Amino acid sequence: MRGLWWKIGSAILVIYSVFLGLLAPLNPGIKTVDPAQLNNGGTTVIITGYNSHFADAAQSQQVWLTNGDEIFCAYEYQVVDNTHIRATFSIYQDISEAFFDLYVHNAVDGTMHLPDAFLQNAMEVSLKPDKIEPCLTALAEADRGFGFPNQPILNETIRNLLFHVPSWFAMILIMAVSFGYSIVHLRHSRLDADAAAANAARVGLLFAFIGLATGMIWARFTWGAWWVNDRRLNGAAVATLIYLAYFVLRSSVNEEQKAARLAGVYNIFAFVMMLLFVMVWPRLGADSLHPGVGGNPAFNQYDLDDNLRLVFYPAVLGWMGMSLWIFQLQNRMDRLRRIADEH
Amino acid sequence: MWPEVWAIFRKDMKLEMRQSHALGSVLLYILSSVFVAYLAFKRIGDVPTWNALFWIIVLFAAFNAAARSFALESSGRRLYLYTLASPQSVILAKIIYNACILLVMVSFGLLIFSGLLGTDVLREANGFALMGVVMLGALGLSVQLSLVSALAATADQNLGLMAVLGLPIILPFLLILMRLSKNVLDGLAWSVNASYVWQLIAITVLSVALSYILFPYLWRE
Amino acid sequence: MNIKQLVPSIVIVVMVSAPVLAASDQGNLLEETMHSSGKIYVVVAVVTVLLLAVFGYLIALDRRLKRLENKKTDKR
Repeated sequence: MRGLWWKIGSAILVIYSVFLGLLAPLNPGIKTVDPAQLNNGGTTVIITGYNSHFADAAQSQQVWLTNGDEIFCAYEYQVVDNTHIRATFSIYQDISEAFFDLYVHNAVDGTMHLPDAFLQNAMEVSLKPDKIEPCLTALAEADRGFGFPNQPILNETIRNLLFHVPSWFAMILIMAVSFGYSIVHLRHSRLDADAAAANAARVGLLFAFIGLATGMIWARFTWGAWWVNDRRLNGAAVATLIYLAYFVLRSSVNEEQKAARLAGVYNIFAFVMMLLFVMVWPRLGADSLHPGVGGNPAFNQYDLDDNLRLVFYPAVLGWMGMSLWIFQLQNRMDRLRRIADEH
Repeated sequence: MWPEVWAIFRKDMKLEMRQSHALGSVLLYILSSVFVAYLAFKRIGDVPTWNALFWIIVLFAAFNAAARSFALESSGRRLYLYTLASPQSVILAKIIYNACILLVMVSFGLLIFSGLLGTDVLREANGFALMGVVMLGALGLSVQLSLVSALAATADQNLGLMAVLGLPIILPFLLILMRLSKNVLDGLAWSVNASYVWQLIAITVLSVALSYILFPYLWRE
Repeated sequence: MNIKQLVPSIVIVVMVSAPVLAASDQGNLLEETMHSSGKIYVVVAVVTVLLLAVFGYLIALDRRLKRLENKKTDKR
């Protein structure tokens, strides 16, 4: 029972994160607008919401655009149902930016925001708007309850943060364990430490594959391609390659002592280089599609709000524990095998 | 320790001179791959292509050169060295030796590459900056590949294992290097490139340190 | 030997992603499904891959343990 508490603990954390990660509702948000261009003068658009309550909260509803410091309220709008609003905006030409941000506010959903919702179509004749008086009256605070942030394009897939990212944390942790065992092996020439290092690398590869596969699926339906030329993604692929090479090296030397020593040296060298590639380097450049996800300092940029944090950190801890548990099982099995081989 | 390093380095250099076909073969390797590239492209006026092709050729030549540095030693001579010198001086001597060989190779490669494939892309580049990048690249590649070469040689394996082991390790360095050299070819200012240069130097120093620490464990036989 | 031990987990990951890969070229059905309901099916696919990979690894571990057990009882 003694060594069991952390396994039960991490299992509970994983169950908690899967449960809440799948069942907690997504906050209301604006999904799409159609058309996405505004002519000068009046344009009528359809605003599609997600999990929103446009009809239920029609009394407290306010719809407006911002552009720079300027605010354009909807000239008129008509609620179709809970997820659709037909709105007419009237804009004029002298504005600072080409893109308008869209806001919808009501008492049930709070403030919903779609950045860069509309592009100004500058071809039209400039007209002064019919209605420019300020329309934003007191915005009522909405009590939305527990929910995940609704990001444009991501929508429900924000939940993948709880399943994709922890696998990378688990991979790094278990590779670090492997690194540590390699050092122990080289210092004290203990073959059991080398076997542990190999087993840890094996479990690390499992989580690397999980990270790559889940990342590819997520990327396909967010950025539109299975593989994008992203530094973090390439870094992950390199990490995987390094550990595959590690196993090639192990199996290419027949003499056990020598194979263990070579593998230990390569593991230490490779781990440092991998750390450099996966953790340090992607942060130095700007051309990463990952908007600060994955335990780097840009975390708050990503609007990882408190609700998400409440599930994300337990998920990371839980999966780290799970990876250690799987590693332990693998290692114990391997020890049995070695004992059986000796007899 | 440094006299020991110097002695091993001198010994390697002498061996190299005695069997001059060895260095010649690597230079010939560069010459022929550049010639193939010339036949395929005739003239490259496009900076990214020029840059990528140049570094790919250099990369494989570097693998070839580094693979020889340990494979040349017969196991008898290795045993002899083992009794005479400390492993730290052996790896330092090998790194210096590899760096010298690679510097010669890269300079030669740059010369014939720009000669055959056209110097159109070099117009914007600062000559000193380009030479600096090429030197830095050669230095870093040789440092990282020295340890990998020692690994492959200890495993009694050929170039194949070395490519498998070395490529993923060298990739971070190589990608930063290619980005830097592209920037230099485009004539970007030092302020843009400084961070890349520091990264390259950091990786090189780190690799030297790791080789210094790890090599004794390989040498122990 | 070591690489061989990894194969089951690789195969499972590929098996899960292969139909998805294949279908994407054929038509828009997959695309529509994946983008419907706020892309919730992307989450479903990701969770499926995650669980299948972990279970696949455990099954492979189990089988190796079984072989070990058989070998031990044979010797007695």
